[in-house]
Amino acid sequence: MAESVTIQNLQKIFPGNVRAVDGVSLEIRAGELFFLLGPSGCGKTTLLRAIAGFVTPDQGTICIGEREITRLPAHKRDTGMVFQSYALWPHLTIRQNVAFGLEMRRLNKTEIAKAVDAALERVQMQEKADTKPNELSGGQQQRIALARALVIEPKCLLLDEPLSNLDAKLRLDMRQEIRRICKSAGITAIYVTHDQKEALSIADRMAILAHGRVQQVGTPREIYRHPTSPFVAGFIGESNFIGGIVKNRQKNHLRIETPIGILEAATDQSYTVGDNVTLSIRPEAVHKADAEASAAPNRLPATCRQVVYLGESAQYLMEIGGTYWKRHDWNPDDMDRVGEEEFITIAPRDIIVLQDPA
Amino acid sequence: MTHTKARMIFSLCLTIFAICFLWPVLRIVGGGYFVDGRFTLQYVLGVFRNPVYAAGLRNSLLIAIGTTSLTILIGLPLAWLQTRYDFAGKRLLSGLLLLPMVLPPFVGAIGFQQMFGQYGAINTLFNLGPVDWLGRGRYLGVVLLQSLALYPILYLNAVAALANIDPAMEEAAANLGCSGFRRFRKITLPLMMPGLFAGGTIIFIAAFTELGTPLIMNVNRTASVQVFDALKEIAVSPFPYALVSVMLLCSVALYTLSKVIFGRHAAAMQNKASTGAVAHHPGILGTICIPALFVGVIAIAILPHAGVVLTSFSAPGSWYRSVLPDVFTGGNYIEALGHEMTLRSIRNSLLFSSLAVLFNIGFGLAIALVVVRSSLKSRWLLDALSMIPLAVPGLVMAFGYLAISSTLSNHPTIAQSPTLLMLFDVRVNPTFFLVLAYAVRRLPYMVRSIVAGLQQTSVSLEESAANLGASPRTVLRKITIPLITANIIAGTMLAFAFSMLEVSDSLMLAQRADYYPITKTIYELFQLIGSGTYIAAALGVWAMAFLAATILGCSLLLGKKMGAIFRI
Repeated sequence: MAESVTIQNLQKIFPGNVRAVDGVSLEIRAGELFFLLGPSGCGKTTLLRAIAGFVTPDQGTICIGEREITRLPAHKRDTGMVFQSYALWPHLTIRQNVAFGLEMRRLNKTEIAKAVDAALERVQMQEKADTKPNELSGGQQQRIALARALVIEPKCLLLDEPLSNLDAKLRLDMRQEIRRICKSAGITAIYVTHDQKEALSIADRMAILAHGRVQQVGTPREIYRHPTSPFVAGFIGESNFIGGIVKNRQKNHLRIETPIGILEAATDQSYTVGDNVTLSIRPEAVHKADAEASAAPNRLPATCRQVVYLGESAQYLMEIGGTYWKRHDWNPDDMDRVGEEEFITIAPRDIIVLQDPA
Repeated sequence: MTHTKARMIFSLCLTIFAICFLWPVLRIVGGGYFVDGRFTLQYVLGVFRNPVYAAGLRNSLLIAIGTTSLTILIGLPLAWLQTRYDFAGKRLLSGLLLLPMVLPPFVGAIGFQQMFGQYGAINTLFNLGPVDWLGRGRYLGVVLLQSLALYPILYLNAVAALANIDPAMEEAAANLGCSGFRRFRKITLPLMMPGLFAGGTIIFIAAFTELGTPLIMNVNRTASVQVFDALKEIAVSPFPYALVSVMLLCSVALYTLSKVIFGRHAAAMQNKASTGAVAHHPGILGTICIPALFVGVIAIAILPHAGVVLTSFSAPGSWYRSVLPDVFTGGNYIEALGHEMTLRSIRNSLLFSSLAVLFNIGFGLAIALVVVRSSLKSRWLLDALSMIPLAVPGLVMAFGYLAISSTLSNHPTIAQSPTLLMLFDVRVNPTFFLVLAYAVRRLPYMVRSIVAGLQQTSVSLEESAANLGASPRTVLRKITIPLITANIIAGTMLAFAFSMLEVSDSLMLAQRADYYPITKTIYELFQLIGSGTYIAAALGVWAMAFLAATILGCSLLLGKKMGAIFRI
């Protein structure tokens, strides 16, 4: 049932030379919950619609399992799609909505009834089977849309920003619910979103897209801890960036000269002395250092310039050697004051070293 | 809008409604069911028992069913092609498709007769001899003429309905394995049903009660013509009342049905579209066939009116046993526009229509403001009432006004005052009732148009003016009205255009030649032996040109929203 999805060199140019998808290659493994994540206009929805068959690519191929489907009409593809607006047909009951795909597959009535009941049970919506979609809440409609897509046992499940029409609280619950349902069905699922928390929290792996190109593919942890470009580092979470030159190297330990002084970083990547690099440092990796002089690495004098209190965290804007840095402090108790002079420190393994684009 | 003020406007509007609308309707129902102060079903049942009346009703129903079916057959495929495909000349062709709306079928009937007459163009062109097409297929002729005039209403409704469907609804069906015609039948058609039914209802009611076309086509055994012929007995016999109340019942029942079945449903259907609708490029076959189909429909639809134009330019008697007129002349126009009777009718029509439109702007604005901007719980009632004239045929309203006029002019106080007779007796001067009839029947267009404008205008624009110290009246004058000017103008133009070529009110209420509007003059001229038909055609062409220019301006102002005005 679960199949891999292979996309090779896919390209789609819309009128006006808009390169919505610009040479995308991806290998999505069987049974994995794979996320396409990127800012709006990055081509993620176009890519998903190309897999569903609503967009015909100009170049490249799409395969589900061994079978190429690039030019197959949408209704012959066996992909179950969950639309952003749910697209539940208002003139049909919930049961009829869910049964629709099975009727198209010419199953007999008893089989359909059994499968629909099972599908509704899986999303815990049995009681609502004979109501019309308009009588359901957003979250309930969401479940039905999911059931309707899953009941046909598709080769892969396509989800187009499925949670974007729900309120924040419900979104959190539905995230886990979607992962639970996908995993219990053991299905390959491709999930489009612009919400990084959604992706980080439930993805097996994810692809970051921008300008129609894949920027990076990896597990949530890989993407967050080891971004390979300033774009990914800035898009997922927040980052402070500073340029520098590699001055010294001892195994994985680099000494980098920056406008605010020498910074020490630990990296797996192979850099040589003299390389131009960009350093990416997460605001939560910037810590306040003890007032007394200590041997802590990357200890720098700083001045607090702005304080934002958010309850769970405090966000500071620090001035360090004429540059401005964001610093996040979790579970803040003693707050810094604007104008306060202090020292900050950064652990070398929290400094991400990125190759400067040539 | 404050609650008190809203309530004041609300009561005022209700009062005007009661007088202009409810009273004539009650007068009809009263005349049909209450004779000598007693309730009786004798006359209403008599309508069904009388073979002549029963046949008239049956014929009218058949004409309405035929017309509605034919308009669906023409309008639905065109609407589907228009929304789903890109093709050469799409904008122009879909605009031209609306042309028949401004060509009244009753004027077209004149051209139709010239072409399909025993010695007309068609028989001569195909060398068929004197086949009597009109004699054989009178009813079909009426159905055809009305369908060709009314299909744009269905088309506009269908296009709007299709555009309202979230494309994801169809994509979801394709995704689950359903495509092509099966998808259209199972998903698209049910989803567009409310819009389709709304358009169909308007067409059905219009065709059911159409007076002008059957009159000109000499189809006398329809309910509408029977009512027209029975007007002489309005003061003495309850039968015309009974006949009209049966027609009223049919129309209102259909309207209510469409509201009950689809009213609630339609609102809930408005789903926010997740993806933009994409028009596809048709294949090579489609590239040729789709524009050809549009051109074909347009050509057939304007054929009767082309016949009118040719008639208007042919020397009297010269279009006989020939494909085209033998002698072309501009003489009919000189005669038509130099004749005191026609000139007077143009003046009359302009006056009646202008007065009706002025009434509509004020009344329509008041209703729209209450409906959109007040918090009155009962504002839905005003909204529903202002749409009802769409469901009550012009013929019925005209009959009601005639009945009221007949009652009033027999009242001793009024009968003795020449001034009051001037106002209330249509036999003396029909201006008051004609203006009222024109206005009430066009009110829905005006209200729709202004309501649409107000809904698109954010309240905060008005609130910010109030916040800066503008009084409610100043806000209305300086902010609200300027912002919805396009909508007011569009509503005005439509109401004006349709009033100018209004048929049933004009034929029935204008009874003195001094006060004939254009349409009644065309009808009277048409009945004259000799050059009458040709002068009537020339006047018809002039009126159509005037109307076409108005509608064109209107569609430019409104753009795509044009369709919204023709929905109920």
